[in-house]
Amino acid sequence: MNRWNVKSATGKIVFYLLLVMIVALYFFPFYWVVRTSFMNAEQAGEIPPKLFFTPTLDNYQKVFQEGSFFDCLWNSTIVVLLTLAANLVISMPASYIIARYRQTWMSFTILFFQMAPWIVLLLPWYIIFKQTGLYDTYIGLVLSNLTYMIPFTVWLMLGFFEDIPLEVEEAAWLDGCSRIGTFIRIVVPLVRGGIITICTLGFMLTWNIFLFPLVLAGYNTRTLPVMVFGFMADNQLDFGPLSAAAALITLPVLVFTLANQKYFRRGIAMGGGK
Amino acid sequence: MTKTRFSERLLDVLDRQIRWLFPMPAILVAGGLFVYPFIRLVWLSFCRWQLTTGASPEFAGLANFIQAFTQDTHFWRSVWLTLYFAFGSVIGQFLIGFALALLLNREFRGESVFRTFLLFPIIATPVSMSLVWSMLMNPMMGHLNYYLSLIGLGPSPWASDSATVMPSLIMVEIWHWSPMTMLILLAGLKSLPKDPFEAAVVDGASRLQIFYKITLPLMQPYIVLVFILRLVHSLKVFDKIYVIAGGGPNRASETLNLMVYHQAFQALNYGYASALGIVMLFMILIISITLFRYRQRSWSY
Repeated sequence: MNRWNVKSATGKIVFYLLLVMIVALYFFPFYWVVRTSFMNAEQAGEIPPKLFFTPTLDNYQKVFQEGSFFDCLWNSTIVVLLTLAANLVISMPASYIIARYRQTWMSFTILFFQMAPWIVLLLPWYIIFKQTGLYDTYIGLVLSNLTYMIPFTVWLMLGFFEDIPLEVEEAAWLDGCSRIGTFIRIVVPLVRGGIITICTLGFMLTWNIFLFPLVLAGYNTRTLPVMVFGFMADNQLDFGPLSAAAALITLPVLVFTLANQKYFRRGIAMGGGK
Repeated sequence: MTKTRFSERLLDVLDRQIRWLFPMPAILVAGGLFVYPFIRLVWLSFCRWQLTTGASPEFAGLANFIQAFTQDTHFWRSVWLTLYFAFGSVIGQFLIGFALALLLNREFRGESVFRTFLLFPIIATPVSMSLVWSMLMNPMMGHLNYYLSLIGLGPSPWASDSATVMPSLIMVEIWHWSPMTMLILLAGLKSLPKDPFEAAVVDGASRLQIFYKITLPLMQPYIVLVFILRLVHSLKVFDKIYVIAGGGPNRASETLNLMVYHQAFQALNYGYASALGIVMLFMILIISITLFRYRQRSWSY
């Protein structure tokens, strides 16, 4: 392979310098937002920016007091958990059948759905959700999230189901286990790795989604990204509180996903993500 | 006694129909969320419907499409902006991602730490990172202009000027997704067979020759895959453009995505928005299908 040798000392130094510069470029916004979130208005506005300063917690206090942060945190959590659960119940059996009966037409139809731009789906949904009372409900938000979760779950789980030898299932059938029973007791435990991968990627996608709740969530079910957007309109140019809000909503998803990094990597390597 | 037998028989019947029973929930949800809404959308696109008036939709034939194609001066501009954003950011992501992948295609100390850092942009909530970038790019108080001045460049208006708003948005999109293209291309590089490279080294080929004659052709399937994945995604970007620029200034960043949103939920021209949505849907489908076909052809050589 075209691996450049970094054996010489200068080569090593140049290589690591490059790495540090790359990390600095990608990581800079994260450093900046955490730093600014602990600054008062005067410090945040200073140019040239200061490296050292006396930190304050006022900005976080402001976020907690204003804009119903905890209500939105609750909404986000509920919507994420419900979406992940509903997605597994709906997608796993479908994916299993496609894998076992090789119904490729089904998987291609599903993949086709994934190409549809979300804004286009939202137009009829908004009208239908208003008419059926799904507007501003958790169920409505979960349904909207399922539209991207189902295609990618079915697609990703196919590989896991195909890896299970049919003999394992046949043995269970011979012992008198029903097919549904075999699926729940034998097959599902065998694809545990796939399920964790789905839930790791699904947590990220569902926590981060903005466009669906922007249109489909009213005042009662607003999720965190929608809250932050509203907060942005209320606090223009007030960098401290804005940074605190931005840092707060992205912290849970970063911690959770990085804790499950192994599964996240596998998921995006298998063409998940987006 | 009969009850158990009944439930047993029911289970038996369900068991035999597992092939239809298991995909049923997914099919129902897909039907409810895609097929039926799509029919409503097509119907709405042929109607005049102002949400403000409270009147019901009124059939207007092709009026909405005619308006888009011939009267609305912004329509063609938004098509151009959509393509500009998509191709601009995908080409940028590809070049930077490929360069990074080539650089990292080796074993070195701290590899896992470095890769963890590169995952941050992909995972972080896009709305929050867009907010951070909009603060950084603020022409008055933002720090990017300060850093530009350090390397001797004048201040840029970034997203607040119609001439610089699109490049600014593309820059943020590249920052967000180039780690992803890097990961895919790096996986590709690591899976390439070693023999051709060893043979080339034995034959005394230069590094540049190896890259053009061996690496690039062997990587072609991965490169095509990256282009398809990222392009299909970039045509639909909403969060960033909406949060950072809101389609402005002077509609200079109003891509099709944002135009549909504005027409539907701000101007409340619901029928017209539906027609624009149909056009957008077909545009994305045609581009995606063309790319998929190209991919199949390029794989059969």
